Amino acid sequence: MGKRYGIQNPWIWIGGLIALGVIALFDPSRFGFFPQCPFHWLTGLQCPGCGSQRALHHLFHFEFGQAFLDNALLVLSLPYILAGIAFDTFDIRSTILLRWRKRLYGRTAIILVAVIVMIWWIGRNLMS
Amino acid sequence: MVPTERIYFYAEGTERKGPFSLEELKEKELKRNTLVWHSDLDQWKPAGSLPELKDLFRLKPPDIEKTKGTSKAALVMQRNTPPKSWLIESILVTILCCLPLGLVGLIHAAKVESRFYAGDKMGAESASHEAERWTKIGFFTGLGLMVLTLGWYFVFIVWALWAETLNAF
Repeated sequence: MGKRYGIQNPWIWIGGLIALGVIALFDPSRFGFFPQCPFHWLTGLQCPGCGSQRALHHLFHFEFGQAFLDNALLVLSLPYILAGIAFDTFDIRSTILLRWRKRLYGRTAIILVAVIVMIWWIGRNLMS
Repeated sequence: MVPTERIYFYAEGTERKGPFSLEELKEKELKRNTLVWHSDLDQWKPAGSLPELKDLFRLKPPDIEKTKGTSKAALVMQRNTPPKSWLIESILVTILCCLPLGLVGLIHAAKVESRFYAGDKMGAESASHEAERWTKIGFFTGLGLMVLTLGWYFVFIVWALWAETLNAF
């Protein structure tokens, strides 16, 4: 059926690791070469992902509180994303794991993810 | 063993052909999966499964349809886990770059799951391809924006250095 991999693509892995390395070494709030959010640049409002780079930088330096302030959604969803990558990468056969996959990454979960992102988007702009 | 007076029928689509004797039947263009019935059978059986017709197929390669059956569509139908939903990739595109494109990916990811578990495996497969498409559009948009930022930063540095050299004189 041909190889169709997204996040399993080795080039994505290499690129992602380099990007994470750069984010870990350089503070995005002090260096100008980090990509800016086009939505924030255009509207002055925060998008759901604004602060992700700073949050990751602070996570690498074990400053969890600051990371949470930068982008709480990213910090909270990190375990979910990592588990999702694991579920995607390994070919699951066991029925128990498949049931968990359906619970955590099935249709209802996806709709919930979309709703949470939208609420977070509106909420963080109302709060600040 | 086979009683010669047995009467045979074979099916062509929904049409019933016959009656034939065994000798007459053997002269028809039967395939392995052609349904055949005779008075001692309680239901229609594929010609290939009847012992008295075995000789007919001994030198014939298997039907083309059968080999075609293991193609892409058949593989899709055989799956017992959903195709890749691109959920994680869509979430990353949503958060890290391009919310509208990521959301379209999320919608298609939801379709992959609901269609697969409703038994619509072909539908799930096509939703998976749509999810892949939108996630990739989002990813390359993000990559493009990043390259633009880096390019802009580079131009800025070169310009600053150049201005500084001019000031030195």
